[in-house]
Amino acid sequence: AILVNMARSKRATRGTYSPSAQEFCNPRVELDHVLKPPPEERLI
Amino acid sequence: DSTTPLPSTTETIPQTLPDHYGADNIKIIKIEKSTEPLGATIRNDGDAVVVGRVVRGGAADKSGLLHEGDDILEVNGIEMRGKSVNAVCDILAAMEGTLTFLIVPAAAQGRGHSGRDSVLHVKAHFDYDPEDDLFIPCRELGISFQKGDVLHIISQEDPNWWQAYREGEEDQTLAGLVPSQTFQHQRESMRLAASERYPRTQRKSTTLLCGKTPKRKKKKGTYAEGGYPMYANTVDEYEPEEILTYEEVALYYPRANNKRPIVLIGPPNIGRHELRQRLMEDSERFAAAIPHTSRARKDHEVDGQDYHFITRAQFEADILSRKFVEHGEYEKAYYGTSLDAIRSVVNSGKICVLNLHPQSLKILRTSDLKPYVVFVAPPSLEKLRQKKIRCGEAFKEEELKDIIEKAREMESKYGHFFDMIIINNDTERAYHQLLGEINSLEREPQWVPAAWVKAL
Repeated sequence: AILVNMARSKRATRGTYSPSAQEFCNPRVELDHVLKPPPEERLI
Repeated sequence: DSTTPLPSTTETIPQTLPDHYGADNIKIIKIEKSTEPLGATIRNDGDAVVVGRVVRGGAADKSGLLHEGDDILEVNGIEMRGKSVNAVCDILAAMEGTLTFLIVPAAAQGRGHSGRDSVLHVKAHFDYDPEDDLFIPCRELGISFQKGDVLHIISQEDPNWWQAYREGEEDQTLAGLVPSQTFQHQRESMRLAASERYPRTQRKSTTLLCGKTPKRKKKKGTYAEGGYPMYANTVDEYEPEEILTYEEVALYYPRANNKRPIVLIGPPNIGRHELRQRLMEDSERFAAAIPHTSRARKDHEVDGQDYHFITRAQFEADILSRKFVEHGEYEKAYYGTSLDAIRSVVNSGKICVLNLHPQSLKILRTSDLKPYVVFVAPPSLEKLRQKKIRCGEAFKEEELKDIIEKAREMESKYGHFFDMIIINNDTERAYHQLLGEINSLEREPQWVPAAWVKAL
């Protein structure tokens, strides 16, 4: 199964920092609470 | 899929509760695990390890014992509280057989798998790659898809993240995550609002920003195959950017007496005309819609065969009552293709072949005609050059670049309407590819906008 292989191949420590977030979340643009990255979930 | 717990899967209330967790409603549940994941996600909440979601298709879902919000204290005697989700994930990945969970159950809230049976089928109108998505809660469950892909949405419990299978991959054990329509729409409208306030210098020329772009004047003198300039019904001078998410689709089963019209879309000089001519050689099977005109009939012409000859006043009235899919003016006379003309081909049991401007798709799609839209695309610049040389056609380099640029613009603006894309590198090959597709349309069910099927 693809998903399982993906899950296996994922590094266990994935940061969610990305410079593109800086572009997206422009500090002067008020983003709704929905658009805060949610706490990371892992598959068990 | 059954919701009855597997025989080996149990739920018990322990006789002696471990009291160092300070909870008085601890439950013990047992779930059988294979080498595959159980199909639940976990997130950290302070010190706690909490079930984030239960994924359709997995052992956790089938057991019905794990629920969103359950606080996992121990698994097989290993304490989980205080561990990071990554550590927990690693520990559980190595486990097999009976897993004994010690949990503090979430406060039961409206469980019982709402909408378990109703699947929503949608066609994606945008490309999506979970690897590039900051907001997906669980990246390893993300499904990537492209414009035009069909997704089967099996759970909308989380308003932001739907659980889905991609068409053709229904045999996947676990469902995956895709952004919900609401979430995608919200995200895109924010992105647009942001880019409007802070315009990037590198903006694609095709992007129109609300109120920022001066009205574009239509260029006169672009000639359609008919030898006269065509303008679509919808005057496309200025449209605010539309946010494309998903469109609900349904299966349409072919009907012998109701053949779907084939619409060829594409940049000029790409060979749509030749493709149409090749199809029409089989006049038993294919036919063109007879156009209307306001010009005078010539002696050798037959009304209702060459053209429907109508007065200028009548033509203008018909334009206003939206009878035309597209129309244009050439040498002071109107020409146009009407919905009724297409319908009469359909009623004659033949397949109507149309070469239209993509702007005509909107009105055609809202009709009852169920068009099948084929985008005839150019090959790469190099291949296009070779093709022109092969066919002995004179060309300017600029023209080739223009064809490719126009195709790119069409695809980005109207791509979500295309049922099929043919790269026309060789007319004969393209014709056989198209014919093969048309043949399969007569045999196999297709995904079409749900509204088309509901209206039947």
